Amino acid sequence: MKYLWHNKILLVILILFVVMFPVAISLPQQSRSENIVTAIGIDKSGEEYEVSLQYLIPYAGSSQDALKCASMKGRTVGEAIEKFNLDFGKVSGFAHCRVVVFNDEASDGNLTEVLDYLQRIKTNTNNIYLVNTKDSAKDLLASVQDLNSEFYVILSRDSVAGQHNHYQSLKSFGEYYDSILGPVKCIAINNIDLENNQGTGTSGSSNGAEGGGGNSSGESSSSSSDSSQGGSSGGSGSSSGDSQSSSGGDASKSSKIKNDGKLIIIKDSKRLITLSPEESDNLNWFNADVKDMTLQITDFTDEIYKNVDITFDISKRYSKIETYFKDGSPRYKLKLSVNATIIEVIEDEITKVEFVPINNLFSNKLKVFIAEKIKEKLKKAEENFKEYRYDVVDCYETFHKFNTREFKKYLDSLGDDEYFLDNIIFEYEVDIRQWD
Amino acid sequence: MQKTVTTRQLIFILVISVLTLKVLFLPNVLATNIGRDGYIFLFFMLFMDFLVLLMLLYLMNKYKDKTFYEMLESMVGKIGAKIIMFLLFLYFLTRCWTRFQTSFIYLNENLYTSFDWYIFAFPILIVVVFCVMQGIKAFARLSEFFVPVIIFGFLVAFIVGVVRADFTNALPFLENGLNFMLSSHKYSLWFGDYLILILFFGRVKMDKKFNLKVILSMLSLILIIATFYAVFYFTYNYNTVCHINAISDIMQFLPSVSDIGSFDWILILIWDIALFLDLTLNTFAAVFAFSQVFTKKGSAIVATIILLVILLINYLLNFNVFMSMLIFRDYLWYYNVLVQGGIPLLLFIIGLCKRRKKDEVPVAQ
Repeated sequence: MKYLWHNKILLVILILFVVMFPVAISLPQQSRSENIVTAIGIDKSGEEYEVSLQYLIPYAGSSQDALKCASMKGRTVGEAIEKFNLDFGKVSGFAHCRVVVFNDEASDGNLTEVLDYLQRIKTNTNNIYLVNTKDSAKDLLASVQDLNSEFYVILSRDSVAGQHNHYQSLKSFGEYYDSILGPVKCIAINNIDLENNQGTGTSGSSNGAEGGGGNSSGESSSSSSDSSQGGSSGGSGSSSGDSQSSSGGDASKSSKIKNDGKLIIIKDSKRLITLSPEESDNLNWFNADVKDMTLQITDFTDEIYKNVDITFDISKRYSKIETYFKDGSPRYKLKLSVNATIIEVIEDEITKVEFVPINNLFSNKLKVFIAEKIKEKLKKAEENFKEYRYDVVDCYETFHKFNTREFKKYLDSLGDDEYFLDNIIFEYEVDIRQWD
Repeated sequence: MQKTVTTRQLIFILVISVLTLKVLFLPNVLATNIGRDGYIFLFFMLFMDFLVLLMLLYLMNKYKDKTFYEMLESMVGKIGAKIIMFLLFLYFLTRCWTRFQTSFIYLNENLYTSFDWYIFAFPILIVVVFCVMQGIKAFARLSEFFVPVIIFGFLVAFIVGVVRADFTNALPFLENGLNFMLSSHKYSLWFGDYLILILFFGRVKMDKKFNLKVILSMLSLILIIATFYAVFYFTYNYNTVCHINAISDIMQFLPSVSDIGSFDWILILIWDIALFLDLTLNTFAAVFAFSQVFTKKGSAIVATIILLVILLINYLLNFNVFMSMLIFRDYLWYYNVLVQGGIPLLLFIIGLCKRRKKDEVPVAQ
């Protein structure tokens, strides 16, 4: 004791230990007081929000943790989540949240308002992805079985699904706010829908959902989700606004995540337009970060091929953007260098069963043909964003950074920044390289 | 006066004082109010502070064997010295207050979402008082141990930011001119760090290249801090306003491997140590200033009283660093500018004049 009294450092450590240790050991397990939320679904219906939280229930010794989904209604997203916390007796923890899914109605309103609660919470939401869905975010989340499911794989930028065509669209909270706080207030966000396969025995397209059959099923999709909830709670979720669903129900098994590359364009926090897969693909040609794209040309003839359809794998692309003013008009020049590999050749008539040596695959005519095809896609994307006046290719930013004075003059001459895309002349240079 | 602090230790202590608070909430505040060109503003402010360092170094060199208080007495007399020391005491008291709040908020934001500040406050204050009891020599040794760790943590965050940043976001350069310079007084809370040197007058073992080493180290630090802001802004661009805590948020981009744990948590702990050291350093300075004015005995008691006053202020002001920021911005900036710039300038001029008088003696003879 005497030694302790004379050793001040030990004394201080002892005091700290006495103060901190009882507090530390008396704290409850974090999982008892906190829900580990992995995904949030926000459905807007009229003036009301239905917030669905997909949360993880960790089991000791189990390699696969179960995911559960429950939802709650409220006048605001924050109110619904607070109700949820009250109902569950746990705080919702968003540190492990991977995605926020919202339905069309939510994105048609003020999306920044919808996301406000999540942006203000202490958890860093910067890396949470944003996804739009046509009908019901609740049903989409209810169809997800576990963290290894297709839905979460799509959300990984490292995955093939993440890289293939959809890189441009996988936008996070941070990127959303960067765009919304910037001058053009525009962003493209991924759209993932739920495809209902009523007959589980058939594979793939049971109801011809491709043509929009799935789109008309706002009611049917929610009823399928409810039926899965019926298994656990015995009632429809719509009656009380409080429903919990075990995601392993039969109906959820018959629903399939459909990620066909659709994008929604958000402008001024509202959904401006939904781009079809083809339109999204066209837009992706502006973004060199999109990896592993494919390109198809049809009815091509040269000295090697005769009336063939060829599919190319675009493994890498390099782009260089130049902005300049000529005769007072702004010009945006995109130089694309594309590495292409032939992965499939379809001939109408097989005249000779022979694989042409790789070195001879790309004739000059073929290169020009591919380049024209890509330019055509770029042109279509340009027409689309000029028509709807959205800038998700950083056109404004590039002019603003590199041609500041001239661009300011140009904007002043327009009177309204809204129309800045109208008079910009887009020029494309595409260089094709054979890649094997 | 016994020389207890080496040049290297002094540089490390200055690093704690200058670096710690600049890379937490300040980048967000600058991004919100100034934006893209905030790094130019930060560089300007740091350089203004650097001029204060040059003035204080001049005085340190001139009055090698005198403490700050002894130097003051010889310059402005006993009463003048006591008035200045009292002003400095209040100044360091406010600095302790902001550092204490920042330390709590930082932990609360990053490690504990529901953190009872009493549990935080009392143990940390006990340790601060204990450090003050051990004296400045022990603190200098402590800094020698921890500052390399702090610099390492900072450089990791810095490099992560450099890798992620899009440097074209620097353009257009000075789009809105230099108007933001007019509001420099609003940010006085984060500057005036070199005044901590009052503790080290007459206590530093000045080696041959003492001045050069201090000046070069601090110039490098200024450049790195201004660049850090630039990197932070260029990483998040318009979204920077949503990122309150610069050094922690920039670490979100660190590719972490779950096997070794998340390095951003390690950085949080490192920065908490830095905040603790900064708080202790300012408590030292407050105790020093107080004891010169009132009593030279019982530094532990003085430190305890100072820290209890801080606790009381925090309790009354609802423990909010952002509210403190507004108080500094709207009311305390007059005081801060007076102490941060006015006092060193006054002393520097008196120091120069005294020199002239001395020089004039042989001429008169």
